[in-house]
Amino acid sequence: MIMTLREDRIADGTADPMVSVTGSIPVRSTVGSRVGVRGEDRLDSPPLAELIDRAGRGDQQAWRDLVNRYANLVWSVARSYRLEHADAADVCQTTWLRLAEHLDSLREPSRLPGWLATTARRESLRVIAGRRREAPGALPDEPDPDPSAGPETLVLIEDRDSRLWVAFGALSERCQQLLRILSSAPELSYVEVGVALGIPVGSIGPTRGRCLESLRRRLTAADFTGSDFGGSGMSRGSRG
Amino acid sequence: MTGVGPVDERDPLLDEVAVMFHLLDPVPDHVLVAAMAAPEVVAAWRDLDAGLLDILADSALQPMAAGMRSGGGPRLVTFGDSADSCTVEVEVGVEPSGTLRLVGLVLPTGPGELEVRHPGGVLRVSVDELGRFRASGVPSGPLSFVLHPNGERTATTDWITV
Repeated sequence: MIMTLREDRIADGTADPMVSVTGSIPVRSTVGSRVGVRGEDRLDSPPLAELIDRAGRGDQQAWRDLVNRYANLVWSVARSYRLEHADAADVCQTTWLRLAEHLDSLREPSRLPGWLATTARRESLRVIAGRRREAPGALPDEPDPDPSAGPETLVLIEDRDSRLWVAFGALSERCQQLLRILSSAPELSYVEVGVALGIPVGSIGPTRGRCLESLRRRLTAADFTGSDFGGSGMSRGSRG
Repeated sequence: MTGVGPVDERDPLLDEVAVMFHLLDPVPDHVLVAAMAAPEVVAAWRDLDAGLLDILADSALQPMAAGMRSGGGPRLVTFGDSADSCTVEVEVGVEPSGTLRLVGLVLPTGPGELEVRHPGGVLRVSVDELGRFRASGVPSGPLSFVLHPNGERTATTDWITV
């Protein structure tokens, strides 16, 4: 079963994510926490509060910096809900339009990553529910690698990455979702991850450990060679 | 090329996962371009000093009531302000071509104009004396409404994916 989303977990769907994350949230430093992903989190990038303030006053460069810093997080949330490219793109656009609309009223800059993740999740759930209404019983398309990742890109992928891809695809849906979000936004607190994924905060640590252990085991245990993992959805075997 | 994460509990395997997704499922360029342009889309209405109507309810996110046939009924979205002084109810239907047909009601009732804004442009429709409006050929994706009630303060709704 591909869909693990349950309607009963999304009953809170229309609450304002800006206020749904309450309490004091430990925000980890983002400095140096990422590697090579579109130049995010550069050591010399200005503090988040300053970027938000400048972007709110119409500074285009500040807005671009915000987008560069968090575009991967928003995209990852949408894709972790197995939205196809066009739907994930819609979710991203709505999320950024909302931020542009709310920028003036963003009181606590440190909550921005959590706000973005929560908004992207909620919009992803809307899209999933909408598609289900249009075609009852239909499941969202399985994600596939970016079409722009053509053969020339694929041959560049290290053997390690391709083995990781296959092993990752064999994980449970919940593990795939959690690990993708955690990997895309190291600065998110567990509280924010919990809100963004709609899972209890207390379960994130143990689940994370279990999922990473499972992934590590699959990586070392066998030499997977494009075998079929029973529709787990991440195998690259179907691509030329 | 392993990232040095926060010293607490950053597992190198997570960094490998990050690099893998960067290679195999990166943010498409057109998604970045659209995100960069968001302030311009929003700015066109910024000078209006308009009130912002939040999403109060979306049937797409409601648990399906027992006995309801699955996938039944059109999607219904309600926007409103905290004072409950203004609401917009919109029913979203899908046209055969894939575009959307919107049928809605503005409260308080009264004639006026309504704009359906989307990243690619805007559709203008009239609101009749009973507060009703309809729009067809609306592209799916992000959507927001701008209300121009006669003699009343303008209001915009938050963005929503339809």
